[in-house]
Amino acid sequence: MKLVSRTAQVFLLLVYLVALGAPWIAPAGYADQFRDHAGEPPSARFPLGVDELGRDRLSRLIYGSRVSLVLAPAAALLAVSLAAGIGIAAGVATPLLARTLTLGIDLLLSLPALFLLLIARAMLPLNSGPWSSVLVTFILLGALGWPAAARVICSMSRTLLRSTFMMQARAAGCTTARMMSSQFMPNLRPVIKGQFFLLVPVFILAEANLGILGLGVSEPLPSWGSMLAELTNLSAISQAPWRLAPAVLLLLVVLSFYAATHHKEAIS
Amino acid sequence: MKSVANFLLRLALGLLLGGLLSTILVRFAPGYGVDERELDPTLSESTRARIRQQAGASNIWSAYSQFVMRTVHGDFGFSSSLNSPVVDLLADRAPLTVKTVAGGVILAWAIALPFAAVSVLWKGAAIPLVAASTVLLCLPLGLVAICLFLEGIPAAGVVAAGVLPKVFTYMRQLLSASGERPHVLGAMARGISPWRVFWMHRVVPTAPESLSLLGVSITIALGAAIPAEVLCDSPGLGQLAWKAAVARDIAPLLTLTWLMTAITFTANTLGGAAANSERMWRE
Repeated sequence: MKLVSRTAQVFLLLVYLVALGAPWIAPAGYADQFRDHAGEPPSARFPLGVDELGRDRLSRLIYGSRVSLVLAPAAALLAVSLAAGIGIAAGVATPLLARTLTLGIDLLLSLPALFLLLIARAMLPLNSGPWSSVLVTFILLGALGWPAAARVICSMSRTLLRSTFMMQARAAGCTTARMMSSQFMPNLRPVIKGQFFLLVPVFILAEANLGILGLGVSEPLPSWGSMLAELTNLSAISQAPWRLAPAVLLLLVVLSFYAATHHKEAIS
Repeated sequence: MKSVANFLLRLALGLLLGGLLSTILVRFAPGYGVDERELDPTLSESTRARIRQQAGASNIWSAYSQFVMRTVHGDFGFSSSLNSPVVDLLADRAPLTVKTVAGGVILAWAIALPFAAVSVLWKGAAIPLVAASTVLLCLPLGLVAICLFLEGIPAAGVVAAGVLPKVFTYMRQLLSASGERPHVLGAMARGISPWRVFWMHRVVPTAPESLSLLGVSITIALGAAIPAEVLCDSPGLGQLAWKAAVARDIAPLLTLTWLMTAITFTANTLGGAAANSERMWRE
């Protein structure tokens, strides 16, 4: 299990290095067009072929990895920060406030996040730039994806407050601030970290789903989701299987995230 | 009676919150108040003024109260892209989505439950089943929908593919955990039939959690209905939501968000209530 986890971590590190070094590693820019080679199959010059607009698929995959792999953790950080703030407050607050916050979390859990995302994407003006579509997509993912994590953190906060070591600390005269900093938060940190690592692949998959539906990152900026949208041309898959490269990379990255996370969970 | 009133109150709160969140999203979206029709040079100034007026109130609370009042009076708006009242669109498309979601949930449970049981009982079968479920969990449902559609599988099959790995994973964890309880180990040690132990002490005690999971799986299925219906070209509510989003047609999206909030809330509450009553009945 440890070997699988280590392999997953090394693979993720490699993919991150390639994604972050996209401007130096990618053979061409993500919007550069080679019009004479449009729709060409893989060759030595274009290892994953060229799309219908004459853009190198490998370069777009590398740049697309940057968008998905940097912004999904950023959205997860936003979601986990919100979840930690609200979940801890709901766990340690006075009964009335705790009940109100828990009710709020439960109500937000009932909202169909995908429909809210569709509303926000539908409201983007047609002339909005690709980066604004990226930011809106991931900010919304972060802003809507926190209630489930908040529920876990809230439940864990309550368990910790009732734990024997917290009671002992209180009985020994520990101040609230000291208990929070030396007992409560260190024990809650693995749960918060675990929620973060669980949310990253969820957001990567959510962006990919939106991209396949044509509601993700706008052209010409690539993301894994927008590259997968090419696959909606069903007849093309069997004739040009190299188009599945973004799907394979996405599968490996998400699997790696789960493999790394499960090992962390087992440790904690 | 008290629990019904509590449920209705929470449902009303959920719907109001859903409506408020949708209104906030619409109001603060970069494209709010902008309508591409205003750029049409053939339109007169009075038509443009009417379009600007239709674009909505500038104050968020007045926009929200307008939306709530209209909805309370049964006016769900008019879809400009599909040129039809939203109520008619919902009535036309809802039956197909109900069939798709119900079919998907039933199929997912019919596959996931026996597979979870098999993976718990026979360790050799666990590895391929868990691997297949993990791969399904790690793929975007849109991609799964494309692959299944290529094989001629309908939208309900895609919804099932979205629900199945989650139900399988959770049920497998539940069944595994119940097998490690001391009384189950004791029963096995006394030589009681493994089938009897499995059914009476591992499957039956997980009924409350299974009922809660059933409620949650309806929610998952509703989310899965969007890519399933879009990519399988099935004219249900999921496809309507997508078409409205692509055409920047807000009225159907707002109504669908309300509808989905109500269904999700009801499914989760009913699942939780069924689980609680089953637990109380057994105690």
